[in-house]
Amino acid sequence: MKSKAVSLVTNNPIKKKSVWSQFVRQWDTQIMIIPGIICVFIFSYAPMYGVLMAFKNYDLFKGFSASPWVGIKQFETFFHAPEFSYVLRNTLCISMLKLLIGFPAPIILALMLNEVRFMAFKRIIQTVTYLPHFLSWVIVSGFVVSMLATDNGSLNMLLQEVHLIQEPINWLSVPSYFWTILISTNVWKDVGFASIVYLAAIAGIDPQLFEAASIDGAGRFRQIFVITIPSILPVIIIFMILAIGNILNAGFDDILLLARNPILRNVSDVIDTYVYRVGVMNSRYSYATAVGLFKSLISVALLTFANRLARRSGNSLW
Amino acid sequence: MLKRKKFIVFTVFVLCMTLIISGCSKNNTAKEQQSTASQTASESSTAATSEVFQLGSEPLDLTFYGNYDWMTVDPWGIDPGTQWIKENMKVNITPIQSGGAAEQKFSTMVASDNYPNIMLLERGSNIEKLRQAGKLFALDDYLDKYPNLKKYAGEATLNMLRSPDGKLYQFPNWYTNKPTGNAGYAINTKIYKSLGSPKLETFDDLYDYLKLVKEKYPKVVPLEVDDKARGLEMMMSGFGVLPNNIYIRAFQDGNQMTDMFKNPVYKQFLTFGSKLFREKLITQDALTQTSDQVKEKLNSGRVAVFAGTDMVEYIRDARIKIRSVDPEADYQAIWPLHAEGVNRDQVFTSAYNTLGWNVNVITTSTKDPEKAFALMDWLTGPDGQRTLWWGPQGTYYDDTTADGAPIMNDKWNSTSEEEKNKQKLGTWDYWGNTGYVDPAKGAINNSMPEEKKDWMTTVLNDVVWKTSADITQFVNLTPDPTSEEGQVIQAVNDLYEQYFGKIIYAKSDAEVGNLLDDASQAASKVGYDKYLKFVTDKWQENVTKMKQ
Repeated sequence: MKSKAVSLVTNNPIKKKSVWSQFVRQWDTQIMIIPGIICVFIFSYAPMYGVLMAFKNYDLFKGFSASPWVGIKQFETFFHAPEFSYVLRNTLCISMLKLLIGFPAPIILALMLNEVRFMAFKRIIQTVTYLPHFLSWVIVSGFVVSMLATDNGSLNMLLQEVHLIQEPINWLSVPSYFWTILISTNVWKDVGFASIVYLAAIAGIDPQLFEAASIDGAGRFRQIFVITIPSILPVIIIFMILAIGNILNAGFDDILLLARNPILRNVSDVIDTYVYRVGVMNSRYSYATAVGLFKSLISVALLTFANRLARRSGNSLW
Repeated sequence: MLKRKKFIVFTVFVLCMTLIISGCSKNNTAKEQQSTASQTASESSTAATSEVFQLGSEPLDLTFYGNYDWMTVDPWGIDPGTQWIKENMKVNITPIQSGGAAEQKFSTMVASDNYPNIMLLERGSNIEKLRQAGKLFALDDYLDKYPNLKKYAGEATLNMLRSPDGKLYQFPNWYTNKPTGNAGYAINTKIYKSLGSPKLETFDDLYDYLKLVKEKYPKVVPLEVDDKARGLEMMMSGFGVLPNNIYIRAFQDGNQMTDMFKNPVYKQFLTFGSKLFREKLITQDALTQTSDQVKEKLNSGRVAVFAGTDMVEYIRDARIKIRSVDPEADYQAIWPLHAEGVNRDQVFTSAYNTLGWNVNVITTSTKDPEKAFALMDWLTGPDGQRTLWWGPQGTYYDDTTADGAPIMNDKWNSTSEEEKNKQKLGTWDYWGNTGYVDPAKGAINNSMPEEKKDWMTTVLNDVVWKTSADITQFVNLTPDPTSEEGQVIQAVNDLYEQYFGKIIYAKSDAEVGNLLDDASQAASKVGYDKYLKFVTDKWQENVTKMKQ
């Protein structure tokens, strides 16, 4: 990328002119960009000095500058905390599961919806699947908790009616069920909304390709694999990279609200809930920042790595 | 090369600007902090010389903030009492809301050095930090000029509220000289009668009764224990030990605080609790449900026995609901249950301390702290409390008794409960004077005909307050969360919650013992001893303070 830009500049006759005169030449375009740059600077870069808090022992009452520097003590505390191993494991496992199951789900839904020829039905399905996205996690967790309750919970009632189980099962207190409940709730909530972008990408495919394929004797399934998927692959890859950059965001509100039972903490506590519970709730802001910073560093590394891989396919972010 | 250099220069420039901007803002607040702190000292020394402030002589405008997630402070003037105060005393209070995130709101106030005039919050480390930063006004100079607080709270209680520098900064809310509380047991009388009203005094009786309920009414929850199984923790009272020991995560033994996980009574209690849960006599959702789910079960009459720390409030609402559907259905509070061999008069489900619930502080953002104190002192006195709870004289009462309790008139008797609830009587009492309000409510209740007597007041007087223990010696035991002990107790709290759940779900009585051993080991690994030493010292400090 960079070498390309340099070669462009060297061939340009205005090369010798100063930055300022270049700026004046393009003043109309530049004026449109400046507010954006200022916003990014104020809201994304300026607050970043706050990460220094991770290396201090921040005292709310003394203020930022008066709090003493403690080096990497906060990080050491985190690495030696008894929770460290399972918090890290849960963060990685839950986000991996969300990626493995939550990422392909909307693509599959989009492919399936695309094959539906009865428009009214397609629209209804689309509306029904994307509505849950607009419900807050507080409401969704309320549904889930009461659906899975042992006392008058609909799932237990259903399973008992069809004689699959004798006694009601206490779904939300068995650690081994928790990840399944969490992931499926997540998929249910977001699958419809996430599929919109893939449906849009599919709609943009030239219909002649399908016609040509069907003339060549390709069936419905064959068309999906040789036309639809390759055509939306760039979109999939970009979203894949973004998802990998988010990999340590295993979730926050969903876990906090569904894992009310402390017995689940060994499988439910992820970095974000840990930061909230131990750091923010106890005003240990330096500790919270250090743990948060640790998470961000790993995320950046993963994103860079994912982008490297994607560059080979020619669809990288940068 | 040139390009790259320019880029570096630009980056350095950006970084410098960031640091300068951030540095400037912090310096400013630090300076301000210093100036206000010195101001505090000078103002409090001059305060004693001025004249007594007469409420209403000039307008008084204050802001008020309650540091609780759940708290929404009603607008000043919404109820007849504050409306009268607003009109006749020229007092206006603007509420500041926590917006459901009190901890963050409080941090923002500290970071921006922008405080409301009066704050209502828990006693403890936040107040001590505010005091150390010089953000609070001391109240000592006003105590004799405005006599109500000193008279009703008493010197002993005020001494317990004093800060390490010997001054009083905290104005208590619902301070008391008599038992208070809300916890206890209630039974569904319709189910109870249909099962032949068996004896219900000991835990063995309870166990037999719950089994009977489960057999005869499979759709009913035999024993409901509230969300997070708080009612179950309360049931430890039946073994003759205060549930308070669980809340401070240490058991009293002589004059030492000891490892809770090694306590034999605690083990006995958990073995019983685990047995009830294992045999499905306790709601299986005990640790997952929300309080709304609990209320739904109570309100539809699907609970046979309820044990809860807020029993009185839950049952008051549930009674109204179920009786409107089925006139025969009802809940009734019962005398606390106990284990074999424990004296029924030694069972305390509730606990109270003379300091009350929480405290108000006057921050240095207040222009004239004396006026703010004068207002709070009037509000906590009989005139203020009566106005807050029953409106101004001439509406619901025309006269008062010698103690200052209102003598209710016909309008009070003819106004429906619903109408009174709508008027939000008492909503603004954040300076609660239990020693005045409770007897006054009791007197009003006693003067009513039997069918109009308030259920809640009767239950409180007859059962709950008789089974409430004084735990004033155990106040202020919570360490600052950023201190070493604070980090220990946070880890112990986590362990407690996890092991409490595991033990309740234990498959056998033997497993309960093993889990307790594990918990004890895990706790000592995170430094439990340091915390135990800390609470022992703090507690002994309280004991000596109270002897003075």
